[in-house]
Amino acid sequence: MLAVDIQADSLSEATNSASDSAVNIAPVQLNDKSNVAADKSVGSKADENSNWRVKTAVLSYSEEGRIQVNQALLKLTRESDSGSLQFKLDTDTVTGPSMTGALPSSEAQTYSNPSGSLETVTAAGELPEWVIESHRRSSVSVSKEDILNSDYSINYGARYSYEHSYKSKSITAGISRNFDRKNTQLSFSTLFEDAEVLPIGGVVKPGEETIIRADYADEAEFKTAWNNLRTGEAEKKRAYELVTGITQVINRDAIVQLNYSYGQVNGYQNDALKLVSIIDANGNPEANVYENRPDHRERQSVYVHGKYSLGTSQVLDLSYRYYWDDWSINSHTVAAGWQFELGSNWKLEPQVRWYKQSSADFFQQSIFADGAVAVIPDYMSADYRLAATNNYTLGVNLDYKFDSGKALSMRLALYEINPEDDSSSKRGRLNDIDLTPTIRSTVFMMSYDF
Amino acid sequence: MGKLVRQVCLLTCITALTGCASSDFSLGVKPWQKGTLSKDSMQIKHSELQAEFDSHIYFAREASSGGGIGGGGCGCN
Repeated sequence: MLAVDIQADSLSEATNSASDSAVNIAPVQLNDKSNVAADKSVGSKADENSNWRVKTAVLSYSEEGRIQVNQALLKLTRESDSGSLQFKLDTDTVTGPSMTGALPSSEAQTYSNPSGSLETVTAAGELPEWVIESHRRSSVSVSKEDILNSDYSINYGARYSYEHSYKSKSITAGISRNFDRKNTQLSFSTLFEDAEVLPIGGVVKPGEETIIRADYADEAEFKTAWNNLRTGEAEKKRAYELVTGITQVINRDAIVQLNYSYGQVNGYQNDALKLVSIIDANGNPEANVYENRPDHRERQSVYVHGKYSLGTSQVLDLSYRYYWDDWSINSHTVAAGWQFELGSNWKLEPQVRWYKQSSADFFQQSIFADGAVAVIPDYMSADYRLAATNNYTLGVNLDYKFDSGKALSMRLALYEINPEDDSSSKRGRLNDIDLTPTIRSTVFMMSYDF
Repeated sequence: MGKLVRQVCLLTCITALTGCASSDFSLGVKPWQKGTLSKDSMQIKHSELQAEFDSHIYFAREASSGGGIGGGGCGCN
């Protein structure tokens, strides 16, 4: 079986979300194996050795007291000497409570739910949250890689992702070129995404105060006010990303990849479910307004990834990424894995990851009214994902390869998110409250290659 | 700080990739020396499914993505 690297995953990584706008695309990645494949295509009959592989996987992501995500994936890959073809289906379901960004009060608080169908009450001192009963996303993608000759290969693909609040279509294309007996590869990839954001309950007007039924004489008045807070059902978002990379064989034991990526996201990038509280001098919320984010984001990153073989049965895997964007967010990501072969069938790989992020320049957890009418800034969000944070992951992978060539993989990881409060947003009692408590989660994944 | 990190990172990579660190050091191998490099565990995209799932999780919980890691999926609440 040829193990030609294919580019379908650049599609899977190209998905976007209504609440966290970003795209990602992996550049064409030629490694030694695809070099081998390219060599075989020269002077041989194309597709002579084609075959299909089936891969299935399940994932469970579970935050303590919060979100739970269950995901399943099916991947069909047909590989041949001249390239590969891949189909992928995946679906996931999100359930559980999600923080709104609004602040806790010394009294109980009442909120309309996102669709406006009912009210929920947050107890005194508790962080307000929405409870997601079940939110499902599904996607399908197809991608193809053509090895044109021993020097060039191209790849292209398309993907469609659907959920109630987000529909996304994306296409990707890339080219790679080999140099120096395939010790060096240059690659270039592009991605374009066209998405429609359909927030639950409609597109809210940023900066407007949320309402509840109790403030209105009857349901009709409430509905009128509710509708007046909304501009429609859907908004557009478009994104593109360019990635260029070089992969270099260093010696018989080491290979390094360096990528640079540039991308833009234009259009609606608010999370219609996120709020910012207007507070008084004691730190109690007087009202809550819908957040607002810029409709343009420019993102860049530099990524270095190296593999080093230690003896015959160990591989060290190291990577680093520096990311920056025009929302003033920058981040460092360092990841390391150490893989051990245990006999001829088992592999064990402990992994660590550290991620440090600065906050967006419009991240703020409150608007201070100071006894007067609150001044609502142009852009503001209390979403903890835009806060400064230090995150850690500890994981271990265990792989078993059957003599028949089939493989079973398992992964267990502990992931911790430690967002930092915006101290300038705090007044009075808020100074004694952690508004962005640590989020601890457990990840379990299992996959099987038929 | 960010600018400095970027410059150091780029300089390190360029130095490594062009072999400037040592005058008698040459990059690359002969085709018959690729035995170790052809192992599954030495592939840059090894464990791509795991990387895919991980990027799904990180994409939904962190503000960064792109560049070869990150990206992907929703579960963004």
